[in-house]
Amino acid sequence: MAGLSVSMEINGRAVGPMEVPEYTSMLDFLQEYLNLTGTKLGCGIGVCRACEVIVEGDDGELRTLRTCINNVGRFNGKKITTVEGHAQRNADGDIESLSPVQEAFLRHFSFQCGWCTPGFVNAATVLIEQLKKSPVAKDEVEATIDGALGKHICRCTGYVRYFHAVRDVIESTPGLLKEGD
Amino acid sequence: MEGFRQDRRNFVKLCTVAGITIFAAPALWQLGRAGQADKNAEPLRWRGEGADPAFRIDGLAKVTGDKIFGRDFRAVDMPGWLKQQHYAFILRCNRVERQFAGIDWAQLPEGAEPYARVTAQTLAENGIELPAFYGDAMLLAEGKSPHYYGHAVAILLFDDFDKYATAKQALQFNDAVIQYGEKAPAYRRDPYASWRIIRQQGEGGPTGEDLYSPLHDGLFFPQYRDRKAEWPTHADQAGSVSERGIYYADRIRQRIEREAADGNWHLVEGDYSTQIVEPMMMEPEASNGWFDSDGKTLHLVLTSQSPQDFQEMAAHMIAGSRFAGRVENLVVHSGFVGGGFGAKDHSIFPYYGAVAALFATAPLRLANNRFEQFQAGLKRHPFKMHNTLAVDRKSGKFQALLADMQVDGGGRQNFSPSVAMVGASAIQGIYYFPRNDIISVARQSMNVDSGSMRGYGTLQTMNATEMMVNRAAHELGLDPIELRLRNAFETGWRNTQGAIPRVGVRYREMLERARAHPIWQERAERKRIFEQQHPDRFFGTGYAIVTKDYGTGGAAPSAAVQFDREGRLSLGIGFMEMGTGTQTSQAMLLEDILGAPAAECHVAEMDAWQAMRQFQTESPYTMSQAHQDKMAADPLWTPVVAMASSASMSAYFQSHVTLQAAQILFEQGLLPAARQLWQLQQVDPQKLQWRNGALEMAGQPSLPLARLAAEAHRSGLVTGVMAHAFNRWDWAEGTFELGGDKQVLMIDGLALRRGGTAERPRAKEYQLVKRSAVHYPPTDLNNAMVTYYAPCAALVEVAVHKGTGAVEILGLQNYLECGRPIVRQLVEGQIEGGVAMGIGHALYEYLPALAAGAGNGTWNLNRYQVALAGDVCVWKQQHEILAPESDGDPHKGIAEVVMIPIVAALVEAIFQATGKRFNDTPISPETLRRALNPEVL
Repeated sequence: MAGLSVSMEINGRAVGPMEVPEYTSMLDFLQEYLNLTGTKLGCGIGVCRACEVIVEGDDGELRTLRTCINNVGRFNGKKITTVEGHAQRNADGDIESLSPVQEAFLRHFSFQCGWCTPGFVNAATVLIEQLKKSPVAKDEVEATIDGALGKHICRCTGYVRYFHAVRDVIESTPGLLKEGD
Repeated sequence: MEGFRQDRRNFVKLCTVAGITIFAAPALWQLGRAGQADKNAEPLRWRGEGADPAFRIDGLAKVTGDKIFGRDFRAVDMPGWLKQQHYAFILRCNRVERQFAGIDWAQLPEGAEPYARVTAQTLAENGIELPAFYGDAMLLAEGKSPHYYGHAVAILLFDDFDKYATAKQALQFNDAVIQYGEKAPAYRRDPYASWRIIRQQGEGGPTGEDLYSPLHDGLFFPQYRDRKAEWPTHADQAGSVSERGIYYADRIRQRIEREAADGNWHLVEGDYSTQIVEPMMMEPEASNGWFDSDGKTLHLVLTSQSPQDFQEMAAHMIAGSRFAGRVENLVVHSGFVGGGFGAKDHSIFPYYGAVAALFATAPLRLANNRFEQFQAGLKRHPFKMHNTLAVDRKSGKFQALLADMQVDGGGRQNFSPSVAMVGASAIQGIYYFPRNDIISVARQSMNVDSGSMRGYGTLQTMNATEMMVNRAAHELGLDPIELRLRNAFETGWRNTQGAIPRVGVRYREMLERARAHPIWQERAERKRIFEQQHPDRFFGTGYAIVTKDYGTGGAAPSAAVQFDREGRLSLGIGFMEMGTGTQTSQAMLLEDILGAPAAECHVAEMDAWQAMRQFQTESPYTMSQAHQDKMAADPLWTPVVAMASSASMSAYFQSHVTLQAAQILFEQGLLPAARQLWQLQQVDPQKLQWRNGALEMAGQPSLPLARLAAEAHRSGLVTGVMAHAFNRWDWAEGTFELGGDKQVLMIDGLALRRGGTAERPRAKEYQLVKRSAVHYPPTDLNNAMVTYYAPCAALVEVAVHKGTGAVEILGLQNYLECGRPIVRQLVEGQIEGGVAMGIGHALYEYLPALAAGAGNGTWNLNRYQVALAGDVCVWKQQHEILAPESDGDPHKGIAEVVMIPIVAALVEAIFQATGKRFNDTPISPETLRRALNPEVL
C-alpha cells in the first residue's frame, strides 16, 4: 500500500505531516487517524452531506467539501474547519460561546438525533460567510437557503427548523441582506 | 484485566444471567465533555428562563460535535480498554438460488489478510447459536442455501485500519469472493404468525356487549399446510372460540354479499400494497467490543435502541457456548442513538459485533457502511391487502370491514408476528364498524428481514383504509369529510377487537377543523385558478385522518427521582435518547411537582433498578391469569422488569412513572420538610404552589427547593424515590405503606432513599419498600391488542406536472392530538420530521423485492430516494396541535402517527388532480408519468 504524506490545519491546529495509505478518504483520516468523530458518515457516497466540512481555498473563500468521497490528499495544505471547530472554548475545553449558526440550530430545536447536524452547521456557516460578501435580496432569502442546504438529508425533523433557523440568522445579522431590504 | 479491575467500581452489577454477570456502564457521553453540559456558562444552560426549555439537554453536545453516539467511540476513548483498535466486516450472500460453496480467499489483496476468519464452522466448533428470537444460521454453513438475500457467511478480523480498508474495498462488491455451487430449492418455512379479528356487535350497538369479538371470546389460530395458513371451517354459534368465530365470519361475509346484491350496501373492494422501506436512520449500526480474556470480561459499545434485551439474550448466547467459562462478565455501554425509527430495536447486528469480539485479540470495531446497512438492516414490512369496505347507501354508515393481509417479514422473524397483529388491529382507523373480519398473516420470504420500523404495521393498513374511504366518498358522491364524520368512532365505543379505548377520542373535532380550513373550503376554486395559470400542471387536494395506537400491552417503565442537599434534582429513566427529546421532556416533567426540572436526566439507566429487586417469569402476553395471580403474591414479582425504547412509549408510559416517583418524593420528602420548617402539623397540599423554584403558602415564608432539600437530608426524610410501573392497557395498582399510611399507587415496585450522596440514582442508596398488595390488569386484556390512541390528520394540496409526473406540495396542514405536549418544540420537530418521512413513503422511497432489492448489497442513497427539503413544502407547511381539553389530559406525543395520514392525503390529492387512483405506494414521478402519458415509452 503506497503512502501519502499529508499535513493541514484543522480547527486552527497543525496536523501532520503524517503518512497515510494513498486511498484514504478525508472522513477516514479524520475519524481513524485523528479521532475527530464529529464529522459523520451518512451514505459514504456523497449524497447525504452529513460529512461536509469547511475548506478555506487559496483565494480565502470558504467552501464545503464532502469528506466521504474526497481523498485526504485533496485537503493537503488546506485550512479545514469541522463541526468541532466552531464554538469558542476555554482552556479546559468548556464551551464559552457558539457560532451564530450553532446557536440558531440549538434554539430552534432544529435537530433531534443530531447525526446530520455537522453537515448543516458547516454548510450554513459557509452560506452566511458568502452572504457577508454578496448580500441577498430579502425576497430571495428562502431560495438562497434552498440552494445552499437543499441537498442535505435529515430524517428526524424534516428540514423546517434548520431552514427557519438559517433564515433567522440571515435576517438578524447586519449586512447579509441587500440594502433597502 | 487491569482496566476492568480499576474501573470496576464504576460499573454496577445488574444481575447474573446463566452464570454471566451483566454490568451496566456509565452512559458513554459522560466520558467526554458532553457529560458536563450543564456546567457551561449561564447563556448555554438548557433550561433557560421561559416556560419551555431554551434548548434540548443534548443539544450542545450535538451541535458542537462531541462524542456521544455509540459509533463515535474507539478503543482509545474507552477507559481501561486496550488501546489498539481492530476492525471487522461481514461477507454476505447476494444470491439465494444456489448453495453457498465457500470463499475464495485469493481475492484478498496481498498484505491485507485478516488475522481471523469467523465462519459457521467457527461458530459450530465453539457452540455459538443465535438467541431463538433471531432464528438460526447466524453464519451460513458451506453446502447450505442462503435463507435470504444478504445472509452472512463470514466475519473477517483485521489488526489495523489500513488492512481492513484495503480488504473491504477489494471484497465488498466483488462477486468472485463468495462461491456458489449446486442449484438449491428456495428456503421456506411456515408463516411467522397469523391473526384473525372477527367482531359482530350485539343488540346494544357500539357500547353494548358483543355477540363475538376477540375481547369477548378470545383468539383462535390456523393450521399451516404447504406454508399457508388454513383457518378452521367448522361453524357453530354455540361451539368453541374458533367455531363461533367462523360462524360469525361466515355470517358477516354472507350479509355483505346479500346487501350488496340488493343494492343496499355499496362495496369498495380492492387490492392495496405497500413497499419495502429502509428506515434510513442517519447513524448506521456499529459496535465496538473488547474481549478481555484475562479479565474474563466482554465489553461492548452498541448503537442499540434495546440494550436491556440485548444483554440478557447475549449472556444466554455466550453461556450456551464454549466461551461459557471464559466470559464471566458482560459490560454494555450505550450512547445516544443517531436515529433509530425502530430499526435499532432488537436488531441482530449487535450479536455479530459481540461474536466477532470474542475472536478478536484487541478491541474490535464492526461498523456498517451505508451499503451494508441497506443490505442487512431491518426494514419496514411490506403489506399486500385485499380489503372490502361496505357502506350503507342511504345513511353513509360503514357496515362492515373485511381485510386479508399478507405481511412479508423477510428472512428472519423478528417482530413480524406483532407487526402483523398491530397492522390488523389498526386497519379500522378512526371509524366504527359494527362487524369485521380481518385476517393477517406474517410470512417468511427471502427478503431482508423487517422489524419494528416506525408505524409498526399501522402506516400500511390505515392508509389503505383512508384510500378506501376517499374512494367511497367519491363513488357515493359524498363530501369525504362528511362521510368521515358520519362514521367517526366515539369515546366509549368498542373497536374491532371489542375493546374500549382508554383515552377519549377527538376525531370529530379534528375533522371539523379541517373542514373549515381554506385549503379544504376553497379547493375547487383553487384548482380552477391554478390550472388556468399553469396549463402544464394538474391541481388536487386530499385529506386523510388516522389514529395511532401506542404501547405494547406490556409496558414496564422505571424512574428514579432524587435531590441532593443543595436541591439539585436528578432523574434516571430506563429509556434511551433516540433523538426524540425524551431526556429533555422527562427532565421538564418534574417542574410542576418539585419546583424545578431535573438538572441531570440519565437516560438508558440500567443499574439503579436492582434496588427494587424485581423479577419476571413468563411472557406477559401469554401467561395465564392463574400464573399472574399466583406470582403477584410475591411482592418482588412483576410481569415485565424492563422494556425497550420503542413504540412511542416515552410520552405516556415513561412520563407516568416519572410523575408517580416525583409525586411520592414531594409527599414523603419535600412536604414533611416544609411542615417542619413552617412548624405546622398539617399542610393542605391544595394551598401550596411553586413559584420561582420556591414552595409557597399564604402566610408562611417562601421555601426554596434548596432549603427544603437540606431539611429533608438533615432530618432523614425521603430524598429519592424509585418506582416501576406496569401497563397492560391499564396500570397495575400497588398498595404500599408510606409514612405510616397505606396508599394505593399506580406502580408495582418502589424503593426509597434517605440521605445519600450520589449525584445520580444508585441502587445501593435505595431501600426496597415491598408492596402489601397489587392488582394487575387481567391477562385477558391481551386480547384487546390495543387500547391507547393518538390521532393525526393531514390536508394537502399538490400540483402534478403533466409531462414528468413530478408532484409538488403547494400547501400542507397537519393536525395532531397528543394530549398535553411536554415540550412543544420537540413535538413540533417530530411533526415536521414525520411529515417528511411520510412524504418519502408516499412518493419516493422504494426497495424492490428479492434479487434486485437491498439484500444484494448495492443499495444506497444514490438510488434510494428520501424526501429532501424541496419535497416537503418546507417554508409553508403548517401544523396545529389540538389544545388539551384539561390539565388532566395525558402526555401522548408520538412521532410515528404524523407520518401516516400524509400518505393517503397525497394519494387522494393526486387522484383529485389527475383522475388516476392508485392503491399502491410509492407513487413515484415515473409511475405517474406513465399513467398520465401511456403513449410515451
